[in-house]
Amino acid sequence: MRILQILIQKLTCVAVALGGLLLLGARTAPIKTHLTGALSKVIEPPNWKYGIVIILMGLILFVAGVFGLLPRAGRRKGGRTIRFPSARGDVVIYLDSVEATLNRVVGKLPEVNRIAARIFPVEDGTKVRITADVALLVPSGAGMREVTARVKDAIADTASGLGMDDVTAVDLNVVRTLPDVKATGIPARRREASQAYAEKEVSSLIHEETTKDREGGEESGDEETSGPVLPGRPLPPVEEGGEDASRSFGEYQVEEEEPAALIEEVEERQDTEDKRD
Amino acid sequence: MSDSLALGKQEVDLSVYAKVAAYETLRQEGVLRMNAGFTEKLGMNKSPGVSVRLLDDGGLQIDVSVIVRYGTDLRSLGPAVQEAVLSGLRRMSDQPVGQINVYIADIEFPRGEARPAEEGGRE
Repeated sequence: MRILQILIQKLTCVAVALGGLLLLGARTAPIKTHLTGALSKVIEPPNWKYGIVIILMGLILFVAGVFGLLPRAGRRKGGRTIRFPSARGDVVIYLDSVEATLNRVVGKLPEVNRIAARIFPVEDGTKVRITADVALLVPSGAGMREVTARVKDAIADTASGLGMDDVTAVDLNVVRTLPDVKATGIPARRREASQAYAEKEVSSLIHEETTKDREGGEESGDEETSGPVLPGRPLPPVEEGGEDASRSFGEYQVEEEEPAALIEEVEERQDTEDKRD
Repeated sequence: MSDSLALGKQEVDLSVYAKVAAYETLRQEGVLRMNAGFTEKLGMNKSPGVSVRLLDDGGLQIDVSVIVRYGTDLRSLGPAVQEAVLSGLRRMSDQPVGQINVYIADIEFPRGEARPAEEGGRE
């Protein structure tokens, strides 16, 4: 809305400046020669009785248009502010800059993946209310309530450090939670789990082989057609090049896929944020 | 502003007050620079970030727009700037001052300084 407003304002200024330029050009050489043809349809220069008035109008329009096109000088008129009145005058703080700082500082916390904080002036602009949409990185073993409380405190502390002493409320909207890869050490745990699983598998196979040998090795001919059989999970026979080859360990992959994808996403995001910083 | 004296007239341009206000403001701890607009950067204003007006009652209204360093207490900075500007003007002139409005337009992290959050703590 604000951008549209500025755009319309600037376009109006361009139109005003061009109007002024046209009026000036109609009475001034060499622009006169170029513009007279176009202007003759609208106004007829030879018939002007008050040429000087037209020139002045053109000048005023042109200057006003150009001035309007220039960016605003000094203090900004628009924007949300918090105002502290005093006997000597007002102290006005623009909340956009405080918001940006708040997002930047709180966004550096290890628990915060992304934050979009908004500060709203309340009670005649003397106090503020903070609303923050956050994506949290929750370490394993840490409760959501604990993490949100920490983030909330951090927001309030940062705002307080910036001079927002009168914070009436901090509303935290947790829009997303992600497992904190670095804090939980999930890859390491996964490696350990896989290693343990592999060891378990090998030991069970050895145990199976040993049992078969002890039983006299009567079923030794079956080894060529059937693969290793896990206890309690009979697998279908594997055919070379068939669909069953890819499906044989499907149950294990499905369990691993979702967290792995999520972890990769989190790692990528953290790397990107680290690079950006 | 002009004062009629026996030997002639003394005039003080409003830009003089603006310059004093800017000088005193920049001396305050936490103020990085004045918030100068585009036209002011082009040199169209002698004291960027400060505007001085003469009120109907003869007092001055001074608007100071600043950019401050991160970590500055904004609420205490405002009154400090007001006090400094007022005392600076009183040292140099008898001109009554009506209002000194302080606009904190932006907060910046100075280059080369470690940010508090990166150090693992907050201020």
